[in-house]
Order: sequence, then structure tokens, then C-alpha cells
Amino acid sequence: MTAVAPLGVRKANRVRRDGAKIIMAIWSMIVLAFLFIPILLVIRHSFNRGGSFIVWAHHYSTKWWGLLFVADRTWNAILVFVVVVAVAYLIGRFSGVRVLRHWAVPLGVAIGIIVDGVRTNWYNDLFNESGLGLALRNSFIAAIGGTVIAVVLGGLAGVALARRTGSWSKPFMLVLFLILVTPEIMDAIALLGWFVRVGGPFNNPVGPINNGILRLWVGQSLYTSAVVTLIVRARLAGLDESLEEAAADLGAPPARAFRQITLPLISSALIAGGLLSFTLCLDNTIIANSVSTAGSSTFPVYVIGSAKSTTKPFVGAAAVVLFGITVMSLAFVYSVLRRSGDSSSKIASTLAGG
Amino acid sequence: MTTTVPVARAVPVVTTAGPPRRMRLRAPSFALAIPAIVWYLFFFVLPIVLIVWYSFGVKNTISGTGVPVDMAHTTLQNYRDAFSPTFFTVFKSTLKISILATVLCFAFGFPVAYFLVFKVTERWKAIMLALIVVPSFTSFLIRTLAWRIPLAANGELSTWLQDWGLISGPINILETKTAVQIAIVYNYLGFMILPLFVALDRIDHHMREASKDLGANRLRTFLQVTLPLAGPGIAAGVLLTFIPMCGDFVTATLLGGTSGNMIGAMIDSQFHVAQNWPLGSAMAVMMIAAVLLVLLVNSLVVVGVQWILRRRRHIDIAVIA
Repeated sequence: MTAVAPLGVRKANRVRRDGAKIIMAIWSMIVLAFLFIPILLVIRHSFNRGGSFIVWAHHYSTKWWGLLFVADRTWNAILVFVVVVAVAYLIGRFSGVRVLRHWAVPLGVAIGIIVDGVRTNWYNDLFNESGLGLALRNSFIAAIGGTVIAVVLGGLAGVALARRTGSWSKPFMLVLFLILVTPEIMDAIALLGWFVRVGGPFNNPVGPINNGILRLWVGQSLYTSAVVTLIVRARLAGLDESLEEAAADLGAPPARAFRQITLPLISSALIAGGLLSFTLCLDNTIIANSVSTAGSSTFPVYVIGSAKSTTKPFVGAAAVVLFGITVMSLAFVYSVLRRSGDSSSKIASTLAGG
Repeated sequence: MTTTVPVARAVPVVTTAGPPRRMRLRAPSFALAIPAIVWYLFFFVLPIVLIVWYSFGVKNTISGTGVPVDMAHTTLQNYRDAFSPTFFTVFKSTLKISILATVLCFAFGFPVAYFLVFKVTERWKAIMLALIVVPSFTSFLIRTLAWRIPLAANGELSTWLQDWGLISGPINILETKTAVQIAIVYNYLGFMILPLFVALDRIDHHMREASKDLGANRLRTFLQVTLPLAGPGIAAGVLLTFIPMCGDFVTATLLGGTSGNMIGAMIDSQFHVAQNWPLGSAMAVMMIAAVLLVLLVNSLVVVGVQWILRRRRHIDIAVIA
């Protein structure tokens, strides 16, 4: 939309193209409504009074939300979280230290999650339906691990692709492309076969990092690290290398130049890529369904299992909670990229895969 | 005096912090990518090689916890089984569902992408993109499951349609291909609109203005300027929707029943229900082969279309752009 046409021309065009524009606007509204219908149905059915997620009982009721969450403990946990984040925000707001001002809120969110998380058995405390609570907990642990791996691998590989191209970059890009286009079921069964074959930590069912969680981390990091790589590469490709060269000319060793120049340059890409891969991990069904073990089923795996008999409405309630979390992290991606100067078109191309 | 000082200062800088030091520290250009390279080799390339190898094996029924594949005598039998009528029917219906869904997604999504790129203000563009991204990136599984609500035979949609006299009996499309078709179009519509939007958005708007200024009408501008310029991006977007559709397993599992089966669900059941890993591997290898074939045909078509367009036009627009 940056075309600078003479004013008269643009006005004339606008008057002329009205008919087609109105038709396309109506069509776009219909498509958007189509996209939102199932989500509205999920929200409505989480308040279903009947015993099934699918069959609408024509009456609203919050009983399934009550059945999913233990109300006082949930409110308690939410309160702790809100207080921690608010305190962090205030500290950041009025602090003179620049680093603190920038990172207080993300740090507060992390501390809030940890404080809520270390209180013993929070998922059994919070959820009446502990099978579903365990699945949600597994989903989060798997998504956090997968995201950390994706950000580290993707960040490094993205920098290498943008700054150190060589004979290796073309084959590497081909592998990334293959990872992005391979139907997920192929990765799922291939990883299952590989994990069983390799054994070792992937077959060890005991301990805090047992085979189930490890398999989920590996499985979910594949696609997401490719996405992060492309986002970081796109970000650096738009900036010329003079800053890094200046640092090197001034005598900074490569590690220091990376930490003080490159890392700040790609930080917005890393945050956006990380949040994006977090939402992708939370949503991942096919790989999780194939590689997870009995104790490590994630929320989607739980839902697939429940769909074999009657799906209860509290699955809808949990889905609404996850929906809220995803919307929040997508909004955060948007604000981070927006602040680093991307237009909404650029953000769309980031989401479409670099 | 004034000329000697800079020289005396400059010499040590050149000798100590100059090229020799950098030479010593220079790592190979792919050093930073090594973790990713190792990761993809170990968890992407090798597992797929293993699956190809397993596809020549024999189902091993006695194995307890290990891999239920006997590799002692390799065989081609799995591929013969995979070509059996049962599998081939599913294979064909998967392709049919995916191709139709791709066409429908394109037909539904292209006007939206076009509208977003050329017809709305920056502010509305952001809002509408958000409204497309939010449903597409959330709870894929539960949204698919939610299609059981309106499509149920005793559901509200069915009742309304009967009340209005549009249909005589209750709608009976759950557990059929039709349900899978509807839900697949729905699931991938957002993922089609985004790349189409990006492809159209990357066009230089001046080219379209120039075309109009030179007297071309809107249809001609669209066909001869917009479409050729956005062509490769559009083709890539279409492919990125089509390929995951072919391997989709969630939609068919939740809505398809036995008559709406798709390859993805069938491969999965070979691994998790029938425990016939070699047959499942052979099916997966064939699916990948089909996907690669589609990629090849698609790139040939793109090259062909560009060649024809170039022949028909007097000026090569792609070169100017």
C-alpha cells in the first residue's frame, strides 16, 4: 500500500471499482464467519448442560467448568500469577535500569508460572478431572521443551544461513523445505520407529525426563525449529552486516560480537518465533499421538482418545482455556513484531512460513 | 613531526589486530548451524531412511517390546499388498478429497486475499489478518471435532433445514467423505489465504498502476500483470496446502468413519492398531513418492505456463520486475 499515485488517479479508481469491492467485502465476511463457526460452537458447548460435548441440550450451565476446575484453588493460582506479574510491571515501570524496564514483564510471567508450578501437584489440585489435568500439564511441559530446542537450534541456524552462506546452505535449505512440506504422519511414524530402535533414553520410562517427554520434545522441535530458522533468517537478511563488521574491526571476538550485536538484532525474531512454536506445539496432534507414551499423553492425544466414546463438555472448557492462551501469545507475537517495525503484511508473511 | 606520529601509531594496529588474528579464529561457515544439522540428520533424515528400510521387512509377531519388524529376509510383498484394491481405493479417494479441497480453498480464499491486499486500508488489513490467523492457529483438533455438532443428523442445522423444507429427511453426512471434505476445506482455508496474501502483497503496485494508465481494463490487468507476477508465490501456497492435506489424519479419524478413510489414518492404524509396521512403512513411502511426483509436475507446469505467457507477451514483465 505504499504506492504513491497522484491523488486524482487514486480517487478515480476508487469510485470505479466499488461494485467488485462490495462483492469481495461481503464474500470475505462470509469466509471469516465460516472460520469462526466451530470456535463459537466450542465455546457454547463448554457451557452445555447435557452430558455430551457434541449434543446441545438447549440450556446453558457452568457445571462442566466447575467439574474441570476446583474453583477456590484455581482462583488462588490465578491471583498469585496476577499479583506477581503486576509487581513485576510496577518494578519495570519505575525502575531506572534499562534492562529491567525491558524484561520485567516477561520475567514476571515466567516467575508467576514457576511459582504456580512448583506448588506440589498443582494439576491435581486445580483439576477435578485429573486425567485431563495431567494431559494439560504434559502439553505445557512438552510445548516449553520443544520451544526451547526450536529457539536455540533455529536461532543459530538462522544466523548461519543469513550471515555465513556457503556450499552448505543450499542442501540445508532443501532439508528445511522438506521438513516443512513432509506430511506430519510420515515424521510421526518415522520417529516412532527410530525411538524404539535407538532405545537408550528414548525407552527409559522412569525419571522426570522420561521417554515420553523426551520423545515429545524431539518430535515437536522438528517443524518448529525450521519455522524459527526461517523467521530469524528473514529478519537478518533485511539488515546489512555493517554492525557486526564494525564490532569485528574494533576487535570484538566472534562470541562477544554475537552476544552484543547479533543477539539484540534477532531478539524480536526469537521471541516471535518462540511464541509461534509454542502455539504450534500446544496444537500438535499427529506426532504427539504417535510418539507419546501412556503417562505422557498431551491434551490433543487425550481428546482423540475421548472421541472414541462420548466426549464430555469439560474438554470444551479446557479447549477454551487453551484458545485464550493461544490468542494471547499470538497478540504478543504481533506486538513484538510491530514494535520492531514490521508492517502487518510482513507479519503475515512471517506466519505463512518466512 | 606531524606526519610521523600517525604512521607510528598505525603500524602496531595492523600487525596485531589485523588479518592474522582473525584467520586464527575463523570457524567453518556452517559452524553455527552444526546443532541443527546434527539434529535434522539424527531425527529427520535417518528415521525416514529407517522407514524406507522397514518397508522391505516382514511383520514380526513374536517381538515383545522391540521393533515388530523382521529384517532377516527382505521382500517386496509389502508393496504388492499396498497396491491391493483396499489400499488403492483409499489412496484414490484421498487424492480426490485433497484435490477438490485445494480447488475449493483456492476458490474461497483467493477473493479474500485479493480483497485484503488491494482493497482495504492498512488498519483493516491488520484486523482481518488477525481474524484469519487466530482461528487457523488454534486447537486444530477440537475445531475438527466441533464439526460433529452442526453436521449431526439430529443437530440444529439438520432440524432447521427440515423446518424450512429444504431437505426432506435428516442430513446424513457424518462418517462419510462429505463430512471429511467440508472439514478439510475448513481446516486448511486459513493456511491457503495467508500464502496467497503474501504472494499478492509482494507485487509491485506500480506495475498495476502502469497497466491501468496504459489503458488496460481491470480484467486484463489482472490476467496479464497481477496473475503472472504472483504466479510462483500462488503455486507455492497451493502446494503448501495440498501436501499436508494428503497426509491429514485427524479429520478422517474424527469425522470419516470407515467410508471416509484417508491414507494418513490408514498408515497410522497400521502402526498403532494392526501392528503391521512394514506394510505401514510401504504405504508411507508410496505417499511420499506421490507427493514428490506432485511437486515435480507442479514445477513443470509453472515453468510451462511461464514459458507460454512469455511467448504470448511482447514485453517480459518478470524481467522488469
